[in-house]
Amino acid sequence: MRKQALLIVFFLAPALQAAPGAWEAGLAATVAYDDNLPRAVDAANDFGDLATDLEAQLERVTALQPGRWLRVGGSLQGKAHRDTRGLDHLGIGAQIGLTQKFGLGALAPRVSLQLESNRLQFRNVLRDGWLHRARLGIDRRTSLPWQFGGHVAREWRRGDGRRADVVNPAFGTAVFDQNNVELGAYAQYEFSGGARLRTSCRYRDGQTDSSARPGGVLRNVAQAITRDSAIGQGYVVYRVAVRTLGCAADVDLPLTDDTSMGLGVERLESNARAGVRYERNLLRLQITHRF
Amino acid sequence: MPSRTHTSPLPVVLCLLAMQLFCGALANAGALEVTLVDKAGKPVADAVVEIVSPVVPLPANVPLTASMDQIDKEFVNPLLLVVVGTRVSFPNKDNIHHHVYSFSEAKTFELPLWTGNNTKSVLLDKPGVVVVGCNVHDWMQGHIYVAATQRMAKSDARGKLLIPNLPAGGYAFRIWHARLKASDISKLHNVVIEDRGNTAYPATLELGRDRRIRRAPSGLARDY
Ligand SMILES: [Cu+2]
Repeated sequence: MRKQALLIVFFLAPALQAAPGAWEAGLAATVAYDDNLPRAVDAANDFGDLATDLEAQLERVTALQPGRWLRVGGSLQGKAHRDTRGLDHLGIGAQIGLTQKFGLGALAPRVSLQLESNRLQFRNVLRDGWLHRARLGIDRRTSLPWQFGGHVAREWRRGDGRRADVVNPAFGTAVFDQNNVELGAYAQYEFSGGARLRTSCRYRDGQTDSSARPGGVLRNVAQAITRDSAIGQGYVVYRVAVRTLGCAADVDLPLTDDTSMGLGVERLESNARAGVRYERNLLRLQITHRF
Repeated sequence: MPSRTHTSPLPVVLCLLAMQLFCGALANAGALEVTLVDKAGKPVADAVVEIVSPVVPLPANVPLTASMDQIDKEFVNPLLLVVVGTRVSFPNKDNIHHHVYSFSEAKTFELPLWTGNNTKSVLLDKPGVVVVGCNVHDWMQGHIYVAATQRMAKSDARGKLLIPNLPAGGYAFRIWHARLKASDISKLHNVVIEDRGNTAYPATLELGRDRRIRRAPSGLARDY
């Protein structure tokens, strides 16, 4: 799949260069605090950490016909944690997307389909692997200030399986082979000065990795287990089937015509089988620039 | 009786007549000077004043072509004043695609503007205001004020505008601004223009909020 994706980009790029279109580049810098980085289910194992994330994106946007755009591009991402260095990683991705606007003007609804493939390389190789995503989204501005939208996404994560140690012979070690389906919706209000206030909720059904020291309840709901040298000494990471509901509030302020600053909070509640559950709260500050 | 000059008298007479008319017109012409402020007392730029009475026919030499350029994903001259019958073109000087459209009653049109393809124009054959947008860049907005007469002007950054060469007498005019209420736009303002100098007309406008879609990007928030 990764080779096909790279080949598509390689052969499409010159063709798109010739078609009427434009290059669009963006840069996003985020500082985020996650109060439960291991996705631990008990207070004894959870801890928070601060991470800095830098992402650059370059896309070729081609108007196939009025109101229909094809976006082909790549992204480069780096994330560094203050303490949990094993989770620091680099990501390189390729994206292809199609956007269709139904009608003319700012109030016309738009539907977009995006496929992306990302390679993730961690400082600690345990989590190295691929993340593929397909996303179908709809956005509709109902008046100048109000905008609503929703999405459905499917994610496939495939771990390389390097440095995966057997902890319990009854379980496999493919903790980072995970599939997820996500449904989300948002409502956004734009003030006359350009500030945006957005509330959003998303529901995820699939698998995640949850880390803890051995002996907890996670083993009862685990699908795969391996030693987790990235999170900390003595930690074990479990693949768990969870249903997650997350709700977020974001404020986004324009700093210049092409730069904005966002501040957001998100609370996520995840439920596995047998009453096993965990919570996460995320706080993020982001600067986005479009070149 | 022999003439004292070899010059034919007809051109001289015509010349004198023209001078008389010209000087006469100047002597009996004034100007309307409108100063516009908002409720906070700040100057209002980009307001249009059009004299609607008395109506004078458009002169033969009035320009009937105009353009609204796009540079760096914005309309360069976002308020264009033209008279009825003007053809407006939309040169795309960006190296990207724009898609200019209008839903306005005065003119409905749609022009996909690929770069280099700048020859298409739109005939504005009805007076009114044409609100122009871009279907690619939602923040881009322009206004074309299509006047029935040539007696119009737009206010500058100081909130001032001048309509010259008005013979002395009574006039009625309208004030337009993109953020002015419809009832205020349809209001008639009456003024008596003096036979020389500028007749001042100060006005305070109650403007609505500046409602436009912002240009700055939204975040690319991701959480792996
Ligand atoms: Cu545009």
